[in-house]
Amino acid sequence: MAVESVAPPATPRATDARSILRKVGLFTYLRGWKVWSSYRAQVALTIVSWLVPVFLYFVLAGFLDSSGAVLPSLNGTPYISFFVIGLAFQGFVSNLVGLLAQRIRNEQMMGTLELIFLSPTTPGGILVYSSIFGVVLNIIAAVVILGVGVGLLGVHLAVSWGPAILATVLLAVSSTGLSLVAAAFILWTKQGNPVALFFATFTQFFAGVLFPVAALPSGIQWLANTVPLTFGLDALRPTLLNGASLASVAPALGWMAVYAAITIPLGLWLFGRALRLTKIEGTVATY
Amino acid sequence: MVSAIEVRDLTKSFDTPGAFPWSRRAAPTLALDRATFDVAAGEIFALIGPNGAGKTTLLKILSTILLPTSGTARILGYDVVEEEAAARARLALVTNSERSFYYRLSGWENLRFFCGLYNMDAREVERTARPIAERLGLDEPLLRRAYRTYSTGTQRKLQFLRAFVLDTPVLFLDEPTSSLDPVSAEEVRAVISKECRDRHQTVVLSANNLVDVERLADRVAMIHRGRLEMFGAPPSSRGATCVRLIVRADEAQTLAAGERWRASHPPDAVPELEAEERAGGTTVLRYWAVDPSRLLPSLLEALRAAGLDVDQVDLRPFVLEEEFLRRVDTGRDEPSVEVGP
Repeated sequence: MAVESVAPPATPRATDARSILRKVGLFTYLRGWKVWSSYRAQVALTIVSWLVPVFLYFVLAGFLDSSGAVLPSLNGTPYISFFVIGLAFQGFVSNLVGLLAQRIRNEQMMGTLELIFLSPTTPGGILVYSSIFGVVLNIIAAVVILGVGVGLLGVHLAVSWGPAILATVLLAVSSTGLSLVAAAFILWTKQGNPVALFFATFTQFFAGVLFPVAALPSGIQWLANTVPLTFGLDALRPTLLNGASLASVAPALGWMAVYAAITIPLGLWLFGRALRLTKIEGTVATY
Repeated sequence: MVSAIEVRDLTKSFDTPGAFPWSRRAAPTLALDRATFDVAAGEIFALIGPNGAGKTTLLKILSTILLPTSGTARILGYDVVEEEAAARARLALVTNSERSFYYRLSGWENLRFFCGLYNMDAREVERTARPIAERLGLDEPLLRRAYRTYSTGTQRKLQFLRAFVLDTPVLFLDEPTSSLDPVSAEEVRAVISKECRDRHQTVVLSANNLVDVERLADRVAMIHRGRLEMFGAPPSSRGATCVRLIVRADEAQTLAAGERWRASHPPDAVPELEAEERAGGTTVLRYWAVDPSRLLPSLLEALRAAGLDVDQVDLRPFVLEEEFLRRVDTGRDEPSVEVGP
């Protein structure tokens, strides 16, 4: 059969500011809120999971006070204030690190991942849009834990807002690289996420969440410097509890920026490789 | 012909991993072997073949969600590997799986979400969807219900609705009427035919239901063991019917008698005969004709004159099935054959 020439390409609908905002709404409201809130038991248990650790460690703090145990390097900060900030932001970071992997996994299970990747929306865009609802939920969780700490457990906040917000944003950004690495794992292996497992368990112990890093055996204290949460808490505790200035937390903020500059390109590269591998193996639609 | 899809030497092999990383790997599986073809703009092109032949593999490579091992494919001039994003923006895929929507959202919400990924707003989605939804039998109350309450047929119809609302110039359909009852299948065929023809949409469909191919396709190719084996218009669209005679004789005797019968007619007045020996001392003799009964009495007479008994005579209107069975049975090592006009 004779082929004259290639047909002139039809022009697809362009991506503009309105379509980007629309996608934010679709991913956040329809895909995020409407699907999440339709599982009522999950909503109730999620809220319970935010609150249980706070009360658990409140009991522990009472026990430590009555036993006269002294934790080093709290610099006069009450232990309840110390762990409330630690738990609020450990949950925030832990969920953030697992967030993209969880979104990818959900789409794999629902069978929609292939169709989403088939659309003209770029994989990078899909990751950003998918994460917004989870980030909002994580922020709410952190605020709820802080609220319980302030309202019920007597935590006294003296916030320097600018540095605290900057520290929170940098903590989120510096955790994004790890989130991309975790998403790459799940995209390729489907199940088994070592990055999220590492964050959900080990960071509580060696990132200064429940007790200061100085309380760790000296041989493993270096582990604390491998995660951005340690630096995030170093910046957030003084800015939320003591109204510390930007200059005093600048070193911690700087380390988080360096961490982000290394892990985000690495995460993007790994995610691209994982997507390519799944397209070679033909496993985008499998779970 | 103006080509919308160009496929050249497209090959895909899959590695077969061992049970453990240190296990010895099996030889790669060749799913698609140097496929080469063009699909004209506005054409409906069908792929048939046994399960596992490579139909879905080909559709997924063309849809950019599977990378080929070698060869090239272009959608409206855009390479599906090198210019993946541009190609992707111009195509839609209807898979054969019902798991392609959010079960907790309604039909409308799902349409708004997926069409939003193609930069469509809600009003445009609803305006485009309503008339097509009506033709597919998807009414307003149904579209407002949660997807999880839909029957399998309704779930499949929503996939078609999504694809037509997207209105991409190229559309891939993987087994379009699987899971549909005969009435729904006919509704879907009617909508595919009307929508695609009206929009001058280029369609590649894979089908196990050969009625889809007979009713919809302009041309058909068969994939068998990863190789494209034939091209042409579906036989029924040429107005032909397949006549099969089961003759109690071996292949050589049957063909000899048949050729004597052909020789007694002007060459243009009689069709080619095909013979295939079967177990039990019988041979299937076939021919294709627009008016099958015209020549049948004289052929029966010629066979009887040669001393051959005819056990059975079949007339098959959907001759693609006959062609399919014949090629899967006997054509395993045949090269690609041009059977179309």
